[in-house]
Amino acid sequence: MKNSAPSASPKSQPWWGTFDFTEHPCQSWVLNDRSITIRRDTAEWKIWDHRSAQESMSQYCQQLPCRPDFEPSEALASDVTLIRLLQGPAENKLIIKPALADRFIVVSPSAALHLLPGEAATLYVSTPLWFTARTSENSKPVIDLPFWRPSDSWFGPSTREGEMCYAKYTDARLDLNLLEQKQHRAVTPVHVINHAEDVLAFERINIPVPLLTLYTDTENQLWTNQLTLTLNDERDIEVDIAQVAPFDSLVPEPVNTPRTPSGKRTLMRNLSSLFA
Amino acid sequence: MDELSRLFDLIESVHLFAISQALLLLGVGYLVGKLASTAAVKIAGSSMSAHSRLILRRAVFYMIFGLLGISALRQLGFDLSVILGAAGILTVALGFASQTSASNLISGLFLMLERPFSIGDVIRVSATTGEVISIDLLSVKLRTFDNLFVRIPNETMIKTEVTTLTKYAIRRADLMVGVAYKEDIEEVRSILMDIAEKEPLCLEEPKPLFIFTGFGSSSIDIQFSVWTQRENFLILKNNMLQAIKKRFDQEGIEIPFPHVSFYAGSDSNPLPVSLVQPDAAPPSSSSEGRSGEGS
Repeated sequence: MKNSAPSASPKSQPWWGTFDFTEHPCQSWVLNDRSITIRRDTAEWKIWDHRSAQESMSQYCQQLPCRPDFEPSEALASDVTLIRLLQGPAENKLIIKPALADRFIVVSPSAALHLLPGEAATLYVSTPLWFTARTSENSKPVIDLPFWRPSDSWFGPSTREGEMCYAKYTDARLDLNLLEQKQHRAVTPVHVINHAEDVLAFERINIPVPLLTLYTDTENQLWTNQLTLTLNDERDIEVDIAQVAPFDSLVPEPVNTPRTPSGKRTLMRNLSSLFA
Repeated sequence: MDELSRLFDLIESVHLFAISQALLLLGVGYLVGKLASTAAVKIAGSSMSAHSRLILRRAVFYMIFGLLGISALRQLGFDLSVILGAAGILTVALGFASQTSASNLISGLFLMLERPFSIGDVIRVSATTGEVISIDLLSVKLRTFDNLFVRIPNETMIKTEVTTLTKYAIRRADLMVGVAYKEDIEEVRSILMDIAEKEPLCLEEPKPLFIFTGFGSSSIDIQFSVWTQRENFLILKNNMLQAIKKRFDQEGIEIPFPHVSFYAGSDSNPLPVSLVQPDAAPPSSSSEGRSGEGS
């Protein structure tokens, strides 16, 4: 599936990259009421994680310098968490990257879908992103915060068998033009093929986002590689993870690698672990 | 020279060499057993659970120590077939003398084989809830959440109901909520569902459960059950109860405390009520120093 991603507004700027705090020791990433502020002090980094009650409808994440003596107001204290990372004064750079969720995410279309035998369909799924910061390219993230923490959920055939995953704050569309793109979300094309003799009926799909790679387009919107789910018989699903960007128009170099690197391109999963 | 030969005779007569050899074998057995069991656990690595590591450590240690113990007995000149024969008689005698210990020992073996819980699990036995810190041949040791050490005999563990709280990944918190009779149940239901939806620790699936449990003496009784990850059980329960109280206060939903209504019945006369005017000038002796009372 190689076609073009819809064009976004030219106003969008990437909120990720390498940021030097020498000139501006305090910088903020803002989505309406939601913000993450990082201040470089003499021997530490101070990070204020300001949560909001509702998910922002903002399409863009703004990256702005703030006052060097920035402190959140007392009135917001209950919504703000302070994180302090101790590091000597020599290093003034942070590598900020978007990351996909650390668990599978359950996506529920507005109504149950029935995929007829021999048919295939592509769903475009939007999932929330995490804000990560590293001190060097190969190190582990020292900050790993969701823009909006999705609600916990359980996916499995019973309360004994299954796995923890996230739900909510997701969106799934068959028509990509109906999906509103936001810079704090990534879009995953999920191609479902039904080679079985029966209709594949499902209300929810469990998307293995920790196994996916993040790409960006020229308008700085985020995408993941394509996921192809092939149902061959009644029990097993073949999960194929494309190793390239889903569209030719995207920048071929990934913005971030998968959280859980998988050596295999194709995985076999039980039907009940992905569809419900 | 004569004295030296007499010393050797003496040593030989009291089996000092044999005893020393036997003690040496026991010492070596202890050390080799300890080293081998530690090495076995290290080789097995983190792939095994704490419980399995404990069993492996003990099995290796007792096997090596037992073998060298048998060798030590042979050094002392004991005939093992005689010892085993005597052990049969001894077992009967010991069995009568130590019924409880034997029962605990056998129960301990069953517990290790059945494995209803492992080290690190949180279990509830009768009124005691705590984390399992050790499963031994005679007893199970727990650390309760108020940091007390509890020893429960294995026989009790086999005979009584034991609940493992950490067996499955998710748990259900049953919140008992009472609302006044005047409240709209549908509204209460939608408020509770909304609270659950806004709480990120509350699972989307399995869905929250709203059960109208009955007409209580002072309130309509509702059970609202929500699921969460096992580690977040107490946090979720606390968050949900706080959110329910706050939201009910905002929405004007009454959480009633027990009421008592006096009712004389439809066929009888109403309860006589009379209004008594307070005295204009109370007696000076009783009112002194008690200003404000009875007003």
